[in-house]
Formats: sequence, C-alpha cells, structure tokens
Amino acid sequence: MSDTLPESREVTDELEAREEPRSELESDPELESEPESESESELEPKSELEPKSGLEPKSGLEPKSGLEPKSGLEPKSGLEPKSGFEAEPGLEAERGLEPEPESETEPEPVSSPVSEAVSSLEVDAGPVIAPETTSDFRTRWSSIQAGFIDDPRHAVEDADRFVADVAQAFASGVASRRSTLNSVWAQDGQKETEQLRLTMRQYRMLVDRILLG
Amino acid sequence: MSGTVILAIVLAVIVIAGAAALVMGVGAPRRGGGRDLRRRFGPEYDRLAAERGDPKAVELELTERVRDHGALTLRPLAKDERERYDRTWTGVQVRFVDDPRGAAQQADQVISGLLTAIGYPSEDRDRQLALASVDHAYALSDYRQARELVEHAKASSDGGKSGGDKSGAAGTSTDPTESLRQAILHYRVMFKDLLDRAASGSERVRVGR
Repeated sequence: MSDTLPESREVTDELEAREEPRSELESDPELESEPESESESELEPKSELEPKSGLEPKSGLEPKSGLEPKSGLEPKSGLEPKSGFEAEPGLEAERGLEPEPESETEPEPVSSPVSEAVSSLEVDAGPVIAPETTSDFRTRWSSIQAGFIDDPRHAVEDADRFVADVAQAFASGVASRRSTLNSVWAQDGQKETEQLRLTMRQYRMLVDRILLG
Repeated sequence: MSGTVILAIVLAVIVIAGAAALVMGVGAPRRGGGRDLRRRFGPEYDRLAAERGDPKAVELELTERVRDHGALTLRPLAKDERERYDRTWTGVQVRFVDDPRGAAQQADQVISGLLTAIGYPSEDRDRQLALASVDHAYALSDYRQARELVEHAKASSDGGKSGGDKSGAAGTSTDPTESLRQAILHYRVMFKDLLDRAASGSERVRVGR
C-alpha cells in the first residue's frame, strides 16, 4: 500500500489542527487530496499505518482530539435491520478518526526502517471484527429477528445470547490487536521517539475503534 | 367352506361396497352438489351462509365462482420466483420488529401481488379473493382473520375502544402489537398456501380439500 500523504505542513500545524474544530479541517485543501496516493517512499512512512482496506478515508475528516466520533456516524452499529442487517462497511469509514498525518515534517529517511517495522505488523488493518465474521453475525441476527414473529420471547433470549457472542468476538479482536501492538515495543522493541510516536498512533486508532461503537 | 363360496362372498362384498360408494358419491366428483360445495369452500361457505342466510343463494354464488375460476389461466411460479417471494416474506417478518403495522400492511400487499402473479385478476380486490377461494378457501379464512386482527390493532391503538376480542384469536389481548403479530401469522398461512400450490402447478381444486 502506498497511499502516502502529502507532507507539506509543519508539525505544529498538525498538532494545532487536532485541536481545531472540524470546520477548519474540512476546509483544509491538504485533506481533500489525501485519498490520492502519492507513492513517495521517502515520505513519512506513517501513512502505511493508515487503515486502507475496507476503509475509505473520508477526505476532510480529521481527528480532533482524536476521540471524537464523526457526527454522521449512525449509532446503529450495524444492528439496525432495514433489510435485515445493515451492512455498513462505509460505517467504518466514518469513524472520523483516521489520523491523516499530513502535517509531518519533511520525510526523514532515517525512519524508514522504523516504519517498516511498525507497518509490517499491519496492526490496524480494518475493523476489529473481521468482515467474514461480521457477515456471519449479520446473517445470524437476521434470522433471529425474523424469528420474532413466531416466538417473541424466544427471539429476545436469542438476541441476548447473540449480543454476548458479538461482544466476545469484539473483545477477542481488541485483545489480539493489543497483543500485536504490545509485541512491537514491550520487549525492548522501540526506543526512538519516532518509533514510539508511530506506535502511539496505532494505539489511538485502536481506541477509536473501541470508543466509536 | 369351499373356495367357490368364499370367492362368491368376497365378490358380493366388493359389489356392495362399490354400490355404496357410488351412492355416497365417492369416485366421480359431482360438481354442484351442496355437500360438495360445503366441503370445498369450508369456512368461506359458512361465512357467506351467515351473511346471506339463504343456502341456495350461497350455493348458486359458489357454483358461479367455480365456473369463473375454470375460465382463468392460472400459472405455476418458477422456482426462482418462489424463492424471491420467500425472501420478501422473510423481509416482512424482519420488518415486524421495527414496524409492526408496516409489516402487516406489506404482508397483505405481498399476498395481493402473489395472487395477481398466479393469475387472479386484480382489478377488484373482493373478486380476486372470491376467485381464490375456489382453490384456497381454508387459507382464505386465515387471511380474513388477519385483516380483522389488523383492524383490531388499529382500533386498540386508536384509544382502546375495541370491544373485546372480536378477532376471536386465542389469547389476544388489547396489545396491538400482539394482534399484528397474530395477523402476520395468519397472513402467512395464506401466503404459504398460495406459494405451495403455485409450485405444484395444480391450481385446480380437489373436492373436500
């Protein structure tokens, strides 16, 4: 994946941007051009940390304090059946917290090996629960909901069990990601600030995924 | 006893049984017989009899229906069509959780659509149902019950002025949602009956069904 991001802003700009209200960010022309892939390998490799597959980085979307859910995000979390179960791959995309690190300093060749180390983990590679599992869950939910007509009470019991299962899957996914991340730095893996910074971002992405539910 | 005597007795029994069967009308269906109509139309017969009061008039009407039904071109539905209807129905059940009334309305519409697809003329709703009763009289009574339940639910939620369970559905409280749930269950009886028959392609009635 080589969707790197334009890196023409100063670091301070980036930091300020995080605190700014959304409007400023949306008007930021830099952000508009994010989805373009300028595959310059010497750019900040943190772009590799962006979750690509399955996520459309919403242009103009920027984490404010990093933990703010996008207002457009349906709170339904995929369990609202319209035609059954709303498949919302786009839902993930609206998390709104894709850190688009457009404001790094000039690319530093020094960090290349670091980026490779972190990016090779592909830690944040999409939703916590894998798409196939999500799809299975949706199918299962759909039949639970359809069964309400025949036996409402039983359907509610099934729903309760179902929620437990989904929560379990989610917790497992989080634990797995956390464990992967942990392996990067815990055993003496990272010392450089840059490395730690990248890892920090990964953690934040994970937090975003959890909190945005 | 000798074999001949036994044989004679057996033959006699068969003849007698056959004669009795003929007398009772088994074997060759006699169209138009009052008892046949009653058996065939079941609850629809009863309903009309209660309405009209005159059994002769009822039988006349039902005989006409059978005749008109014979003039229709009904078609079986292909497998993928039936599967599509099944999926639509599942959607109705799923929808109930979010929108019970909408789901009930949709159930009714699906049935209408299915009737039309099979070949029952759709211009006049009542006529469409009347013709369908020729082949689906028993399921039709479920259908009518469903419609009553929907009315009941509407009345319940419009201020609870429903005077008791005129729907007759067992255990129906004034909870409109429960009425609607029951309605969809009854609609489903009709739906399944239509769909099953459309599969076999045998849209012609069997006496006493």
